[in-house]
Amino acid sequence: MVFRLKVNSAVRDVDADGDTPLLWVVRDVLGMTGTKFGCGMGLCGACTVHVDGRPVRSCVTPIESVANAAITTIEAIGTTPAGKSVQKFWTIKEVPQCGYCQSGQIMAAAALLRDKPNPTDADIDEAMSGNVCRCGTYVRIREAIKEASRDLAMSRG
Amino acid sequence: VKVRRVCIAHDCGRIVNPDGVLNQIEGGVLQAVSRTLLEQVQWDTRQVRSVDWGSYPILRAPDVPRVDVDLIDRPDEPSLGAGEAAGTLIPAALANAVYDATGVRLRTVPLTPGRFRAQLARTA
Repeated sequence: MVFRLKVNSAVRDVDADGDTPLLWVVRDVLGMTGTKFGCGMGLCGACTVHVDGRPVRSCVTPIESVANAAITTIEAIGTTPAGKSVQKFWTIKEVPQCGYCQSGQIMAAAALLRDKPNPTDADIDEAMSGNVCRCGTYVRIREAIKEASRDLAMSRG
Repeated sequence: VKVRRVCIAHDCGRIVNPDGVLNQIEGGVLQAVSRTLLEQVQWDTRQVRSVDWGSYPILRAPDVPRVDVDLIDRPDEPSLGAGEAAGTLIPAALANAVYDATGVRLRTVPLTPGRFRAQLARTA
């Protein structure tokens, strides 16, 4: 069956079963490999994308459930104010080590700052608690989110 | 057991990239906190029972301590490995903290409530 998906502002027609996870459509059909397969069970956060601005686990999201939604992946998160700022401070702080979880971490952080531009420590902990990092980059993730929050506040004036 | 803050000094000889060393130490410390408090592969008589992040939990954002690192740069010494060494100290430091607070000496990680109760019963 053909589904019409809106991914990173482009309309794409995808011929796949309705229960195909969004992750595999994004990676294998559309060729955008920035979104990672981690556990396939929604437990690790590596596959996080935005659906209508909200962070979802694409590995457990069937494409039939997002046919009318606006999907954003790591490839385009830099076109949003929060995503751009998060990426900037991820680079400045040199957050990644192995890097595998980081596109999911960035998507979670960008969603947080979009909803709460000035998050408390508890807000950060809650928003990021579903994204695991085996390298232990959590200290810098927290710092980068705080820097991005300040950056966004300044750019708002 | 909740770890609020870790202070650590690290000597790995000559430091080439200070921020890279800091990053490695932060990661090593957090891996070791995770291992010491949470991580244990579970078996039954047939198979491994720790098969996903639900049955093998690791440290997540809410439990991450503040990590303060002092780098000891020794330009006249050769550069040695950084990162993993930090992790060797954490289990001992946490087990000592548990002993200091309770008088219960744990010698096996992770420092689980079950191990603590069993050792407490033996000690009492």
